[in-house]
Amino acid sequence: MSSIKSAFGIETVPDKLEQLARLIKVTDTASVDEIIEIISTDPKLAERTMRIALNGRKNTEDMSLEVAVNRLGIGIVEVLAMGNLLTISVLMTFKKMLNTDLGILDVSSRLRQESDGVIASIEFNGQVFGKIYLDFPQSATRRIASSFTGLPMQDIEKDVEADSVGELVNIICGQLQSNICDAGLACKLGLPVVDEAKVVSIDKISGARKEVFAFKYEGDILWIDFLINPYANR
Amino acid sequence: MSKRILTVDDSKVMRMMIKNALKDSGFEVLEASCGQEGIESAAKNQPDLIILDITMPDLNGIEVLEHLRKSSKNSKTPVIMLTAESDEKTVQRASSLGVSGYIAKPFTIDRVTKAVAQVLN
Repeated sequence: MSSIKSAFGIETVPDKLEQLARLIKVTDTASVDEIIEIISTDPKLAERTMRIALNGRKNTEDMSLEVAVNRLGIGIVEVLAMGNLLTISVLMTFKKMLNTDLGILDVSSRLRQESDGVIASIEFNGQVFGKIYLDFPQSATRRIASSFTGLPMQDIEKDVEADSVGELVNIICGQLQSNICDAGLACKLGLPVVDEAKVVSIDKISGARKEVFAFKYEGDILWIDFLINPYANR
Repeated sequence: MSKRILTVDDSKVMRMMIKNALKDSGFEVLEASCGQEGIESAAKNQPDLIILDITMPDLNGIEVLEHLRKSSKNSKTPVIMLTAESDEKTVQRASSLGVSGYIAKPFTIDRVTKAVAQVLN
């Protein structure tokens, strides 16, 4: 933990930050061996790299991590490491702000339904460029707003619902942005935009890789589309 | 007389959350929904403490803090930053402007009440 953050008692995730910082350095020099070494120390990152390289197929060819990285391209591993940090931000935000433990769902075995709630988005701009979309079902937005304000669910007004989701998104993405900055890639976060929409309309971002995440929040599923180009301005 | 705290945050729910917790602890809580309103309220109401967000649509929290430090009325008013922006550079900048505390979102409400008590006692 940095001394200034430590002095203020700000919590960090030093192992994941160091991992991303090392990957950023190494992907610039394109050393596959070093990338393999970094990934190998994190079983979840290694498993995710393999799963994405296999693209839904079984590993009948006994593919190695090295082949997986070469198949995906080294920049994608950075995106996966950023995805890990995003997952940590989501879990931590729900835990601390709403006193709730979320479950992580396997997106490959899930059918995504049309949204009946709101879709919140926020943009990153700087050395990395990207956008994050969070799809919240209506029953989830009510519960979030009620938990934030202490008001009963039936008394929650639309603007409070939208504001609660916007703030939650700001917290999740602010934490991610701070971690990406501390790992060595300067970027700024825009303001959250909250819309009612049935389908997430994803912007086209040149050179961006998309990752999808799903979380179980009591009886609801929250979907996140994470779009990022880690080489936007490097 | 109860101590007066000004919370400056563009999010209504965040202000509600802070207000509910601090009122329960016996503080008088004033609200401002943007940076400019925060500067004006601080000058007019002379709070004992300001809780300041960073990411806001007009003036951001660091700009508000710079303004407060230059003003004759609030140059020494204690400020606690309460924000999702917690990268080292931003924390360093806030620290150099003499903040009394820096709470990174997400936070527990207990963390806020303890930080407030620490600064005001």
